[in-house]
Amino acid sequence: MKPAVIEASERAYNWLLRFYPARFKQEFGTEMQFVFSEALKDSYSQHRARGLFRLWGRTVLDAAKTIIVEQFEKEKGVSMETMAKKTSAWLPLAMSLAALALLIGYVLVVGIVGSPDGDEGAPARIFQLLLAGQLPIMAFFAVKWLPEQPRQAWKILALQLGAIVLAVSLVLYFEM
Amino acid sequence: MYRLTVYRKSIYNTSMDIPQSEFYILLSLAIKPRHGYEIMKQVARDSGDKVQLGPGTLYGSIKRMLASELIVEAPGDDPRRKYYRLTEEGKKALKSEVDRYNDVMKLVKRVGLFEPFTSAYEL
Repeated sequence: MKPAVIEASERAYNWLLRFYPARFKQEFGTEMQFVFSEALKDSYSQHRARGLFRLWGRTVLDAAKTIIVEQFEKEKGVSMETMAKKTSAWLPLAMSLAALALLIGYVLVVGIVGSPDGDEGAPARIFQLLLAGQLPIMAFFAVKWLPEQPRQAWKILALQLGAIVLAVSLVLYFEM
Repeated sequence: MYRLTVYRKSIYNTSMDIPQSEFYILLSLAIKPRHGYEIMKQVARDSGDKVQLGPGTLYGSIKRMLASELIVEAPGDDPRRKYYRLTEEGKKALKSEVDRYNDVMKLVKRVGLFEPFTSAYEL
């Protein structure tokens, strides 16, 4: 029987795959799930929680970069790929995904705990920092790229904003 | 298979354009056909854990390499998995890249690039 944390991670990765283009997911989604599941089992059996955190760290960065690349590669090619590799394009998305991973990890470990009256605690502060910290990066991205490549830049900004909205929506949903 | 963007169709005319991740994938498939996770582990092993591919990078690279006809799907032991093998084009691209590395290594040795107290490299 699989440990609950493995099952939860598999579900979370399956959910993450939704951000890839439909065709890419249709072609490679099942394989990507296989690969992630096997990597999960190996990481967990060798290093337990530390292995899972490291794997998730790598996976979040990998997803943030490749989701942007694949989303735009389906329409236009090289210049968009180059733009998606700019730090200011993928870093905000990675920060939102990290905030989501933190939230999911917190819910798995601690459970759904309502907002306390006093101190919110370190996880809540990290969550807020991850979301707030990306705003200046997004602003830099907008200033630099909107004039040069408006269509693609708007799409990247929409992805970045969508990820923030998603993370905040989950907190509101859990009433945390 | 859906229509892949083939904007990099001609990119492999010069081996210098092969990205590092794709070079290691080609290298991992040089011995035998492998499925995704085997490729991922072999790449980590071959690179001394310096290149650790995530699923997105792995399958993004595979998608481009399929479009460039450097690799194709191949039959394998586990029918649930997709296996990949090198094509003749893939072998040529790999050989070309390895030759380039060899040339660089010869140059490095000839001019003693990283040895202390060697004479300056004259262009």
